[in-house]
Amino acid sequence: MKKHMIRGILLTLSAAALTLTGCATVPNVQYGDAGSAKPITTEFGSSDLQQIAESMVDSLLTFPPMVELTTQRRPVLSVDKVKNKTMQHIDTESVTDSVRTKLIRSGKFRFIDRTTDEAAVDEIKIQQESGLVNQKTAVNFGQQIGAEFLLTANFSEIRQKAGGVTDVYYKFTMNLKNLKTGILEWSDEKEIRKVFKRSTFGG
Amino acid sequence: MKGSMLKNGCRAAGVMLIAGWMAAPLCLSGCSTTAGTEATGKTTWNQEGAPELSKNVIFNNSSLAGNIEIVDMKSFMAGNMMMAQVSIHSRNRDTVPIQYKFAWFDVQGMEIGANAGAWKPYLVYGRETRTIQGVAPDPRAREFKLKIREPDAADN
Repeated sequence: MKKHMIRGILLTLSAAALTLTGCATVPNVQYGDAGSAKPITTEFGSSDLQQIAESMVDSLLTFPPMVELTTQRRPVLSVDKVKNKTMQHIDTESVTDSVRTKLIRSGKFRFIDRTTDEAAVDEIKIQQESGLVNQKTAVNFGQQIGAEFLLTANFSEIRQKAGGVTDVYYKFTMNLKNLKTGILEWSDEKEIRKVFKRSTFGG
Repeated sequence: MKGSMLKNGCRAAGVMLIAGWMAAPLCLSGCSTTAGTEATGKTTWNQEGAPELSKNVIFNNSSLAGNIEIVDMKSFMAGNMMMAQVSIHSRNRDTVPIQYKFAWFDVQGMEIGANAGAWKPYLVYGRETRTIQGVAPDPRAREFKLKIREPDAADN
């Protein structure tokens, strides 16, 4: 009787141990909100990217001379690489991609994309030279539309550290340059400040 | 250490709503499950053909309702793009951190780019009145909804 009880207790304990270890190793993965604004560190994050892109697009779309310009026609723009002057490795193309996507979606601007030119040249070459394509429908070289404006951007940060406090200030400046006249037709900047305070407990 | 129940409670208590009269019945049913605040403004045209903004504000979060007051809502057409401006006033003596997001609807009430926007952090200093502005993603927008929530609600 006693033996049975001890065996029973041992079995229960080992089962519990198994269950516990099982629970501890199950990974806790969840889908998060892609638009979440919860900062994890002072490094450049997804929310910062979204804030910058939205702010730039809102400003460009509502700048009175731009409103006037885009009521009659949809100007063609090209995007330059962002000058990243921060200490971080940031995929700045992702920022300009977001800006470009939003501007295209607004229906106010059109864009040319120089990053896919190589593939376009290959495709046009095939159309012209392979003999596979009906020449009535083949695209000729020299037919593309040149950009009227160039979207340029600078990205900088100022980082300050004192004791347990890290203060990072980001500034993203964007300009729209008229390629013919060289005049900056629009410019705006978005500032973001992130502060990290080391907590007294468990810091 | 927050328990999961407490966490869920916080999340549920996180969102503010302001809603236009057309969207009000929909919004009310929505608000009953999403504690917080939402605000909607809808552009209509009066008999003279001038645009008018009808607006409505619903608070479902007692903590936010105690801290934040919606004092004014405006809309403006920049060309054919709708711009919205909501003025909020803090009743609190301390700084109140909030997050906000605009949602845009076309003339039929269909949301443009549903669930696409990102929450934006915003600080409202003690007793301060600040404005939140948003621009529609494209020219179809005729109605906006501003959602305001506490940052604690954003646990993911």
